[in-house]
Amino acid sequence: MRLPVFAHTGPRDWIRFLAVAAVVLALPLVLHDPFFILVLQSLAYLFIVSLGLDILVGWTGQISLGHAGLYAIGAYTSALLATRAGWPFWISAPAGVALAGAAGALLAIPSLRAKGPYLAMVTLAFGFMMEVTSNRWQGLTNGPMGISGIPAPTLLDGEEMTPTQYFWLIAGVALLCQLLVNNLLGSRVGRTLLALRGSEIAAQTVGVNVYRWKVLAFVISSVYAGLGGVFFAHQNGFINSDTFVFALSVSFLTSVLMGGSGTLYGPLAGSVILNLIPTVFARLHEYHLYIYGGIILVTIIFLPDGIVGSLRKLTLMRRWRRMPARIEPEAGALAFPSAHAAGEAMIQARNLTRDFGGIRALNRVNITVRPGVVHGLIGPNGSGKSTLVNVLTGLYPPSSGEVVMQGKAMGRMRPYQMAKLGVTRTFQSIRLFGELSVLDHVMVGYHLHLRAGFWPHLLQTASAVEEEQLFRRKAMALLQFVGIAERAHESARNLPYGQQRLLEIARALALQPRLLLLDEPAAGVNPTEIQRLAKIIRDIRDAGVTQVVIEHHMELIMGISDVVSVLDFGEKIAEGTTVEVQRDPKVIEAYLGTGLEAAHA
Amino acid sequence: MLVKLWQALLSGLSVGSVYALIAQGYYVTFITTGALNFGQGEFLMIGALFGLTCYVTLGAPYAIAVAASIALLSVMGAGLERVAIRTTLRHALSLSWVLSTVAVSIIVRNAAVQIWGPEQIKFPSPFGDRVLHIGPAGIFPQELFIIFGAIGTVVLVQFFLRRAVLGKALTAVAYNRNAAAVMGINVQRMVVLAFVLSSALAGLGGVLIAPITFAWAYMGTVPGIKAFAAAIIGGLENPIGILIGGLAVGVLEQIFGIINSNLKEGITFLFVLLILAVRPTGLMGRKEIEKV
Repeated sequence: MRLPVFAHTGPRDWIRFLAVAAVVLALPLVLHDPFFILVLQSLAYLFIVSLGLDILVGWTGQISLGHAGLYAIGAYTSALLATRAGWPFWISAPAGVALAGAAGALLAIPSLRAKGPYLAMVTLAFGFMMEVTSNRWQGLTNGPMGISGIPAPTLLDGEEMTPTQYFWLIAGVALLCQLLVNNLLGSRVGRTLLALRGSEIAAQTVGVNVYRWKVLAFVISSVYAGLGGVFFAHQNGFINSDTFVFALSVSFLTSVLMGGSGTLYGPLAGSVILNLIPTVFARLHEYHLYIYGGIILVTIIFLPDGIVGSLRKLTLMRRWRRMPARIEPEAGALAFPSAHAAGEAMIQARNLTRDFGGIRALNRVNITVRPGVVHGLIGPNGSGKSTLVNVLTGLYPPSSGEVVMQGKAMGRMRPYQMAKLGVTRTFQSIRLFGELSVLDHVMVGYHLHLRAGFWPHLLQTASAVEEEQLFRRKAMALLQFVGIAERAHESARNLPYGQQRLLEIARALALQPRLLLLDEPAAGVNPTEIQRLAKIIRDIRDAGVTQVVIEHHMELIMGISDVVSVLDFGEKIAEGTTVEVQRDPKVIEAYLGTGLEAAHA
Repeated sequence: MLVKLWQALLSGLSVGSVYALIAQGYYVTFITTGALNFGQGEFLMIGALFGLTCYVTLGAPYAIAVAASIALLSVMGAGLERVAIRTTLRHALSLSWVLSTVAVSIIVRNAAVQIWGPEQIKFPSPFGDRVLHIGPAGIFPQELFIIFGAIGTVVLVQFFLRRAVLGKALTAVAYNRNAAAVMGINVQRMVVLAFVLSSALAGLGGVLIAPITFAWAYMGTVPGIKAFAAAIIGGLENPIGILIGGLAVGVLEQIFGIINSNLKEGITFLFVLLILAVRPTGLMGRKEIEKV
């Protein structure tokens, strides 16, 4: 079980990081052998690529079988600009990195919705396209003949760097890359990526724009791959198409998995070990591929968590586990200033119809939810309640009809756009963010309220850190409100069912919604917890938040609802106060079937 | 120009039917396990080289060589399932099987280099080298044989899956693993069967295509990946889509080959990227609606 620690870089992390940095940078002073320094250079830039790849694999759950293509873009761009246009390294290198990043942004487009093997195909196809380009577009790349005479970077005085100096440059950049990854992934960015990995749909309902975050992950990953390619080109002085092949992509991926994907230092361990193997087994080169293939197999089969992942499992046992500091709940976290809305209707369904293939799940449904009420939604199984909620929150587009929010027709809105308008929800089948802690679930809920973005978190500015702490206290208050504060630091996955439902409510409340839709909040919840749930729903109403509640638990729904709408076979058959609805013959018929007299008639 | 197009269509159909054959193997394992063999191309290569040994070195009839290749690859398929699939399918990283099957393919390719050497070896066609003329275009008899052999096999496989008891059991596992198990079907055995079938198809593809290419240790990777692209384009869960995807990729390549031989190598990959950007489950794949 992997629980990411989003406690910020404390002094202990700094000491550990600086110690590693000192050792790495001192290596060429101890070992003067030129061959060894060359190996060190290679290890450093290959590590950068693995580190970037892990952002995709370990943090967003995307696989890449085409990283060699991005590496190629960095290498060729810088090499061509340096040899043909005569650009100095310090300009050609950033150009190569930038182009690789741009390619990554493009690559994110087909990756957005593709899953499983389809997703694997995206990067695979890209890698092969680059392989073919480098091999066949001879006018540009010179194919297998390659590009030679790529200059080493120069120092300020115009002298070319010595191999040791070049190693310091690469290693310095590599260390910086690691530091930035630690900052990013240890902060809001990593948390959001893991949330997406856990459930894209749930992340959207608290306002996460899935596409933008996937592009971000792809771009960072590609920038790192491009950086590796640039350093490679200027190390060798010569590049040709033999390098940028599928096998290289496989080796990048293997190094990540071997070290442990989703761990901060896995890529370091994996890339160093994997890339040292050819050097170690140089004399057995005839069997090199057997060894290599065997190592991949053994790693995948026996070390599914990788080296660092497995070690962490051991050390996590007791001693090294950091006890999270106690967080004092912030007062006033339950005030929703934007919630109290004037007007006749919070949200309206107008003639809403939704078809799935030949099945009409909703048929011209008209419902008006007034502001500040608890609006119950009941009906037998399959009557279209969840579909209605899905259409209202933008998860499914309506087949016809429209959703109107405070007098404005919504058109085609995505869930994250509805979230921006203050509409969020919970799920009938619970959707949690994988292994994130309970507290971090609520933190993701605050997505739209956190101001510090990519750069402040990258640099861990004081304001970013302060904001994070403030919202932790707020999140704690929400957990206290729903009654699960004492489990804040546990993995949400380990909570009992009823508490997971409460957590979903807390996560949704973090959005500070105007309209909250609860899809069967009492399903699988025990009777005592239902009492608490009823109180929570009333308290949320008193805070001014409008709620739509789907529920089969009649006692609960009749106890909390101001208005109840009844659906049957996709149509609204009744609406009114709880008393009116309970007396309605159509409702009784829908639930109990036709009466005996009617059946005999 | 028209002659060239006609010629491209014929050659494209013959290469494309081999893609379709390999891709059918991806389909069978994907529906049963959600995984597929990334070394399918290497398995094809073994089929070709082993067939060559039987046909040329040992002097066996072509039919026996085909049967021998299919038999060897069936065994290898069972081995692959045991080593690379069963061990990784329950992993948290859902695509572990990608790397484990790639690892097997690396080992298999290295073994092939050691056994058969790294050179291209000519595989004489049992049907001779006399060019047949269909309209204005020429075609080798082997190419015609490939088209009929491969498409015929695809149809047979579908027939097997839909009509034979064993095939129906496999299809049942594909639809619902647990329900199939409750009905007394040995799920594990069906998974093995799927990989045996898939590998056998690759082996057949190898002996079919070798006479028009060459047989050598590095012949498999690219057709394997292109067949994967074809399956993705058609939609991995749709056997008809896969067949059409395979043929389309073969023809598309040949047509672009008229314009520029370099374009021919890259066009499939560009095509698959464009399609996935618009239709994330392929042209004829099931459109997933995530239930909430």
